[in-house]
Amino acid sequence: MTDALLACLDLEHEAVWRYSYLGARVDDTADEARRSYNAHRAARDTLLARLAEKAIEPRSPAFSYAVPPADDAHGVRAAAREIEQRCATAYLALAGDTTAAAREFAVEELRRAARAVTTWDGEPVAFPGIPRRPR
Amino acid sequence: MISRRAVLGTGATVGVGAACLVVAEATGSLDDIARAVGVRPHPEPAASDTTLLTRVAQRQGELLALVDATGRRHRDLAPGLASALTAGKAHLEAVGGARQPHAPDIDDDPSTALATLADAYRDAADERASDAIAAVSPDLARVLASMAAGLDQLAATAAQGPA
Repeated sequence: MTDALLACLDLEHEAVWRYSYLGARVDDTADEARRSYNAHRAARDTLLARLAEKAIEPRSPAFSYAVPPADDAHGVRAAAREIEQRCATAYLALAGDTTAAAREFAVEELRRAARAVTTWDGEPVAFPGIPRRPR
Repeated sequence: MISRRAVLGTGATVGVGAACLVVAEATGSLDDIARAVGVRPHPEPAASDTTLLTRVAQRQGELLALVDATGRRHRDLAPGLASALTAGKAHLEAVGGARQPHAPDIDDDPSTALATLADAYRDAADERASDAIAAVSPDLARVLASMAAGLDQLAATAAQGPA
């Protein structure tokens, strides 16, 4: 499950970066972006602590990340949903961990990401985190 | 394919009719789950997972009956509940369950009925999350965790009121 933990950390690094960027872009969505930023920063710190417990070298964040166009609230919401959906997929993989603490954390973060998609105006789906079959 | 075998295989052991499984195969909903969670042979589900899945199928069947009854009692709410019905059916297919035949009583006030539904979704989400943590099979854990997340989304949508 080391790969799954590191994949989650990579995404949390990106999410922290993205919400910092989105929060500065559009005033109307700044408060919500800050709440999401704080949630992802907390998740990142939990992942770093878990990796340290396992004596696994964490990966560092990139200097910057690609981000979809976000010049207005509509764009910010779409960019937020996109990162939350990727986080949900990463935590879904980690939810198969056989240690209770890791699984509990993964389930909690998967649910948080799914609720965030709804907060950012996403439609509900039956199985968040599971990529939908192309129609 | 672990997930698919675990879910289909365990579903079969809880006494679900073959027709239901054929429907799930035909709609391809389980393929998505299997693709997402990877491949590993795991032919014999743990006994506790079979018991757990039986209860999940029962509870999700009751939940779908509540969604359906809410839409029938309050026709104005029905369009907004379309995606909830679709998701509820997908959840049932994944665990090999069936909608419960007895519809619960629905409040005369649509806002109260919707709030009741949102509460039921929240309770179900918490239950599926606990089930995911209790599951022996990692792939069953993932399916249940994802269901919990989907139920969270449905709870939030129902709590927002009529579409």
